[in-house]
Amino acid sequence: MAPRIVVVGCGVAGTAAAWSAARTGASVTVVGDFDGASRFMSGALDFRTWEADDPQREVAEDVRAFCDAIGMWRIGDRSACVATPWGIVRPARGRDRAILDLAASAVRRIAVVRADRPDWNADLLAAAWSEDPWCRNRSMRFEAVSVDLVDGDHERWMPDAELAALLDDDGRCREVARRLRDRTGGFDAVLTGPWLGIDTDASTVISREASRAVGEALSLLASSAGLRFARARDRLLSAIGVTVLRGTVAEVITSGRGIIVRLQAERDTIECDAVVLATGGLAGGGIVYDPSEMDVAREVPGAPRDPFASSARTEAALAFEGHPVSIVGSMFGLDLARLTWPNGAHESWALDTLCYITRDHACVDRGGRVLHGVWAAGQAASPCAMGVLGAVESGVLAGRSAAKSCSDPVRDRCAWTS
Amino acid sequence: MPITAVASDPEVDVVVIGGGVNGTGVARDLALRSLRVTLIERHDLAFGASGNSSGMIHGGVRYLTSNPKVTRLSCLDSGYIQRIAPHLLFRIPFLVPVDRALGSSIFLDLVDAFFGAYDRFQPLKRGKPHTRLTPAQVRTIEPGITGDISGAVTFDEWGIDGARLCLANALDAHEHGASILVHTTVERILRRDDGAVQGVIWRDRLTGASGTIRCRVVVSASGAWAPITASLASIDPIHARVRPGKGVHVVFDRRLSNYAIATYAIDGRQVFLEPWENVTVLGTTDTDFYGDLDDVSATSDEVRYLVQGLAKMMPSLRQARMIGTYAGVRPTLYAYGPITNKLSREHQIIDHAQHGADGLYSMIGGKLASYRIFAEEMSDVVARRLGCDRPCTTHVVPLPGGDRAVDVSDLATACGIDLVSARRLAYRHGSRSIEVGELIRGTRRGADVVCTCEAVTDAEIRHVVRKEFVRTVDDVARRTRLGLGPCGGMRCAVRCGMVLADELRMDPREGLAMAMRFTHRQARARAVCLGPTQARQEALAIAAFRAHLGLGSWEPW
Repeated sequence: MAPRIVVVGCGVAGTAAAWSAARTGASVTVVGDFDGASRFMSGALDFRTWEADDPQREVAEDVRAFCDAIGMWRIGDRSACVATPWGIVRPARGRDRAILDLAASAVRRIAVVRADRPDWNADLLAAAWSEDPWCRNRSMRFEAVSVDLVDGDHERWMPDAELAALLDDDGRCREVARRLRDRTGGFDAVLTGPWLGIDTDASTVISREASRAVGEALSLLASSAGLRFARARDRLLSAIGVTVLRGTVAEVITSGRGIIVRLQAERDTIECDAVVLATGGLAGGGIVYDPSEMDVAREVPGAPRDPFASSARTEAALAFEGHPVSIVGSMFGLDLARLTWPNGAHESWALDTLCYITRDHACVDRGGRVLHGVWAAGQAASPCAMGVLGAVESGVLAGRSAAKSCSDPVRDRCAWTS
Repeated sequence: MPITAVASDPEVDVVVIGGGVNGTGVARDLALRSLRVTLIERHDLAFGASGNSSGMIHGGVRYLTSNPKVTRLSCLDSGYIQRIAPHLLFRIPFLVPVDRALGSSIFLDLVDAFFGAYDRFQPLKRGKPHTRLTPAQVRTIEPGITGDISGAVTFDEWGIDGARLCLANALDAHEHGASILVHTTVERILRRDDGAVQGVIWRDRLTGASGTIRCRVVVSASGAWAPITASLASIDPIHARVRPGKGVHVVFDRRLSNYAIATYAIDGRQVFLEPWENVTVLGTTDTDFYGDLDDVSATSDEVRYLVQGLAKMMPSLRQARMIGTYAGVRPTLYAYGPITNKLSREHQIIDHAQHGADGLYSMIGGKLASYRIFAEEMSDVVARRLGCDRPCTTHVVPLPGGDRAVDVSDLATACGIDLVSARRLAYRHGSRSIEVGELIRGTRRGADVVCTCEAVTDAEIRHVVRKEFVRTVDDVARRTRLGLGPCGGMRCAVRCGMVLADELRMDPREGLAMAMRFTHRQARARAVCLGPTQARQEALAIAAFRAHLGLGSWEPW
C-alpha cells in the first residue's frame, strides 16, 4: 500500500511538500484553511529576503521542477530585476510570469501606465524608478503614459486582483493590448500595476499583441500574485490527484502506532503514516503568540503558560530565539519591548525566530527525541525569514523525506537520529 | 568654530530655542509686536511634551480648592484659545464615576459640590455645567461601565490637537516675519566679555550646515531640555533645572466611549480615557525620567498599569485594540520631596542675568492649557527689555485658519473629495483648508487619499510640505496625523515619502528611507501593546515589507 501522507497547510511550502510526496507515489491529503503568508507574496521569488540571498546559489533541479509544475513562475538562468510599487527596483531569483523583467535585454525606455487608481501614481513612480541607481547605470528612462485601462468608477475602486481577473476575458485582454500598442509607440516595454490576469497568461498575450514587453510591477499587500498562486495551486493539486480538505487541524496524535490527525470543525480524524506541518510561522497563523496578556486587568492572570503555541496541538517542540519555548518568568508573558522590528541593529524580528525544532525537517519533542512521522516545512521550520523559493525548497525536501521514511524500516531512522 | 558673533552675521532681536507650545507661543507673541525673531527647534515643532500631551485645554480644575485664581485664569485663557483657534477645539465631556468602595453617598455629594464650584468658571470657556447621575443613568449613557458605583458627575472640557496648535503659532509668527528653523540645534549660546548673550551657533541636523545668528535676547523654551540648553551658554544647568516627569499614553482604535472617563489607577493616581479625534487615548503615567529626551518611549509595564486602571471601571477595554503608544516628558518645576503627581504645573521665568548671562531667559514648567499666558508673560519681559511698548494681542488676533468657519460640504463639493476628508481637512486647517482645496483641484492626483485612516490627501501633504516647515515623513505625520491611525503607516508612509521627495526635489530613495524610519519608529511604539492577533498582523506587515524592500537596514540600495 502506498504510504499515506497528510500535509497541514496549503501555502507554498505545503503545496511543494504535497507535490514532492505525491511524486514518490504516496497517497497525499492536504488539509488547509487559508493561504496565510503565501497570499501576501509580491510576485518576486527569493530564497530568503533578496538582500540575504546568495546570488551564486544554484536553484536545485526539483525546485525548478516544482516551479514548472505550478506553471506561473519563471526562473531564468540569471537573476531578474523587478520594479516595486514603492519606487525602487531590485533583483529577484525568479518572478511571477506577469512581472516585467527589467534585466531583459534591450529594455531602455519604459512606459508606466497612468491609471486612475488610489494606490497607483504613475508619475511619482516613473520619477522614482528613473532615479534608481541600477536604472540610471543602464540609462533606463521611465515615463508616465496615459492609457485607459480602467473603465468607470467601479473599476477605479476595485481591488487590484479583481481588476486583474477582468483580463482573463480574452476580448478585454485584446482590447487592452490594442490600447497599449496605440499609446506606447517608441517604448521598449510597458509597466502596469498588478492587473494582468489571474488564471490566464494575459501579460504574454498582451506583449505579443502590443509587440513590446508588457508586465507588472510587484503586487502590493495580498493582491494579484498571491491570488495567482492560490489558483495555480488548486489546479496543480487536482491534476496530481492530491486530496484537499478545507479545515483546521486541531491535533496531531503521535502516541499510537500510526499518526492521527484530528480536524477542528467536524471532529473528523485522518489516519496516516506521516504528517508534514507546513502551517506557516507567526504570520501564517501556524504558530500563535498567546500570552496571558488579555488578563491584564486582573491582579493575577489565570495561569502562567508558554507564551507561544502551535495552532495544532502536537508533541513537536517550538523554539524562540534559538531556545526551546517554555514557561517564562512573568505572569504576563514576554517583555514586549524587545520585539523590535528589523533594523540596522537587528536583522530579524524576535518573533521571526519562532519555529518547530527540526533535524533535517524531522520534528522533535520537548525531550529532544525525534517524533516519528512528524515533519515540518516552510516558515514553520525556519528560524529566520523565508522567501518563496526557500519555502519551495523546504517543502520539497520535507515531502520527499516524509514519503521516504514511510517505506524505510524504522530502525534506520533511529540510527540516523543519534 | 568662532566664539564670538561677527558683524556680518544675520541679526535678529530674539532667538527662541524650542518649537513646543511655549516657544512657538513666544515667537508669535513677539512677532506680533513687530520684533525680529528666529525660532530654532532641534527636532520638529511639537516633538516633545506639546505633541505628546493628553490633547486638552483644560480649565485647571485641580487647582480649584488650593488656588481658585489659577482655575479662573485657566478658564479665561481656555476661552481666549477658543476665540483665536475655534477650528482646533472639540468638546470632551467627562464622566467621573464614583466607586462605591470609596464610601457612602456623602462622597458623591462632595464630588457633586466640587464640580458645582467649578461650574462658576465654565461660562468663561463656554463650558456646560456639571450634572449628577445615578448608577442607572451612567449605564444608559456609557454602557461599558460595569464597576460598582454609587453614581457619577459629568463636567466639560475642551480637546485640542497640540501639534496643530504649535504649528498654528509658528505659522503666524512666520507670517509676521519670524524665521522658523526646524531640525536645527543650537550648539552654543554666544556671550560677550561682560557675559551678556550676543548670538547662537546653530547646526542643521539633516544637512550638517551651520552658522551664527546675532541677537540681543535668547529665550530658552526647550521644556525638559532646559538644563541642557542653559549649559550651552556655559551656565550651571542647575539654574534651569526641572523635575522631568515622563507621561505615557496608549492609543486605541476608534472612539470607544461617549464620554471621557476619569478614574484612578492601582496606586490611587488619577487616570482617564478620552475619545480624541478618531481614536481613544488612555493616560497617563507620571514618573521621574532621566533618560534620553530625544528618544522617549513607553514600556509594556506602563501600558499594563494604565489598562489595569481603566479596566476596573470598564472591563471591555481589555479586549479593545491598541494601535500605539506615545510618550513625552513634562518639564515640571523642580522640587525635592513631592511625588511627581503632586508637583506644580505652574510656570516660572528665570532671568539668567543673576547668573551672569544678561539677556538669557529660561521658561520653566507650564502646561499646554496655559501656554498663551506664559508666552505673554515672557514676551512682556522681552519687549520691555528691548524697548518695545506694543501690548500683547495673542488673545484677540486669530491664529491662521481661525478667522472664519468653513462650510465643509461646500469644501467637499468644490474639490471633489468626500465629506470625511473635507471635515478632517477643515479641522486641521480651518479657513486655510480653502487654500488646500485649491491645491487639490490644481494638482494631478491631488485628491488621492494617501492615508485612509485619517483621510489625508496627496495635495494636503504637498501643502504642509510647502507651507508648514516639513522636512521628513514624521513631520508630515505630526501636521496631518498621517500614519497615526490603525494601519500604522503601513500603506501610506511610502507614498508620503514619494510625495515628499517630489516636493523637496530629493532623491526618491531618501523619501523611501524616511518612510521606513517613520514606520519603524511607529512599530516600536506599538510593540509594547501588541495583543495576540496584532502580533500576527505585525508579522504579516513585516513579511510584506520584506517582499518589496528586503530586510536589514531598511535602507534601499
